[in-house]
Amino acid sequence: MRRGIGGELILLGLALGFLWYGYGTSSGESAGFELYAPDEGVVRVVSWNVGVSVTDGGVALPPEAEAHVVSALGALAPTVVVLQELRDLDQLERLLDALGDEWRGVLGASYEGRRVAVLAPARALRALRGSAGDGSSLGFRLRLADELRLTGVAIHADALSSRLRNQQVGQAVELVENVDGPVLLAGDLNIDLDLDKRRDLFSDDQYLDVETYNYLAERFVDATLGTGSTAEPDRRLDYVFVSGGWCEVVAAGPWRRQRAPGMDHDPVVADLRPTAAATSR
Amino acid sequence: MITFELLKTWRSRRPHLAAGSIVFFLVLMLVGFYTYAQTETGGDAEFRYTFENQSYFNGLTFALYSFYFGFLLILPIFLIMECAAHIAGETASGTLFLLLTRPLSRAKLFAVKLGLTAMSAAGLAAGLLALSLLVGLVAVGWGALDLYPGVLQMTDRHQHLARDVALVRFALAVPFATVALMSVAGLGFLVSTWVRNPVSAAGTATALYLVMYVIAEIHFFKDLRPWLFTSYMPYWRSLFQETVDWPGLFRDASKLAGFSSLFLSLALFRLRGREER
Repeated sequence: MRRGIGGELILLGLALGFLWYGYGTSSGESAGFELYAPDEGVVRVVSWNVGVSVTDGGVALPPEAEAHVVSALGALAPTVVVLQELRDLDQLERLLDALGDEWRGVLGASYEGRRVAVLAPARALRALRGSAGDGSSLGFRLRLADELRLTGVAIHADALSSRLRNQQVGQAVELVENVDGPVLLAGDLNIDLDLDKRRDLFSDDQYLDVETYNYLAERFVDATLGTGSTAEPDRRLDYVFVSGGWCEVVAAGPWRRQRAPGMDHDPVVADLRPTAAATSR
Repeated sequence: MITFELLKTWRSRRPHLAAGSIVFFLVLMLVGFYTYAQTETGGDAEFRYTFENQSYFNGLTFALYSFYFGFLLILPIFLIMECAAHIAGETASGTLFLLLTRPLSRAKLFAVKLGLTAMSAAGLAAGLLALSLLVGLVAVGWGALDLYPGVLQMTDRHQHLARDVALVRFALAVPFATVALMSVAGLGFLVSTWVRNPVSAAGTATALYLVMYVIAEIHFFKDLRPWLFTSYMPYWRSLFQETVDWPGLFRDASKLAGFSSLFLSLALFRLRGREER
């Protein structure tokens, strides 16, 4: 016969208390990028794979989603945008027209029917620095202020082969190797290294991807490190790397809940404040 | 009562079985690493791995790897066996009925058995870790602890811990690992109060643990994983970062303690309500 449930209630109280503390308090995990108006002089970099793969088997940006991309970019007011998975020059021109007269862009060669593009205000975008032979990356130069010139490379590495990713990242780095000045490398690397994904179902590629990431990490600062996943399913594939010393990272991370239907990537934003040394070069 | 329970546990030879299995596990780990190193280095059998650092594999790395795998898959099974023996085993043998003929409340009996199980959990964690470190020291030798991304996914960047710092972190891992093991013990107690056959109780609890463990390992079940206690079992890994995220560590410990308390509350409710025969 039951004679009281004091012990059970104590244990239940403990359970509720522990679970409240564990689940109820802030996890400390990054909420990603929160939209705000940056100070003058901050360089806002946006990298976005705008392709559709969740609902349509994997295609470049569909025309019906262009307005959504333009709207999101308009809200961000970026300094430079690197896009992955554009269809063609016509699509780039439509995006530039919608963004405004001051915007210019360059489009990379087709890589499996998808292209990388760089968009920036005309006053900033200076020259194409070159591109990888397979169209996976595109080098560019920006003039951000009288004293500050930025050399960048936009990249979209292969989604399926870690060996190809390794080569493509190497080619992208070659485009900015030996540059005397600030360097930016941004795009979809298709590399996912995450602390909590020990049994990754795609783990055959892990070691080569680790090498590839370390190759970049030796040369650059990972501006969005620790800001969470950028793509489905719960993967961090999109990166912004900067060469050391020319800027401090003011805010960075994936800007969540900005995907058009079918998109599987968030736009990744990095706000960079050039150091006094960089602007006085 | 406590002495009696300790005596029963010792005479059951379950601690001997656990210790023997842990030694066997470590021997296999050692052989596995030696043969792996031999293959990777073309006959030059050194504990090292090649792509990041020529000499980072040492006794501390061995201890960490051994503890990691042993903790997730071996210790829970022994702990579940312990819980099954405490309640279901003594129910089946009639010992529990006999004990309750004395003026002893079921809550007190439950508390004593829970205390002993907590001691078992701490002993298993400390024993496995101490033995792993000892084997690592004797067979390989200690050094600094270097961890790289991709290896067990313990880190997303290179982590370097000096030997003494690493040893302190190993020591800290024992209480945190014990908290995690107690959630398994809670599950074991809960099943053990419902299933009167100890073999069925141990089998059912182990199966439930493994089901939740496997589901928690599928990383894109991102909405489901947070609600399974098995997702947090290896939370003590963050102790082996250069900068420990203490708030995060305590949050995960709190979740595990919450699950543990919930399971135990239900187990006690069942134990007190059921009819002994």
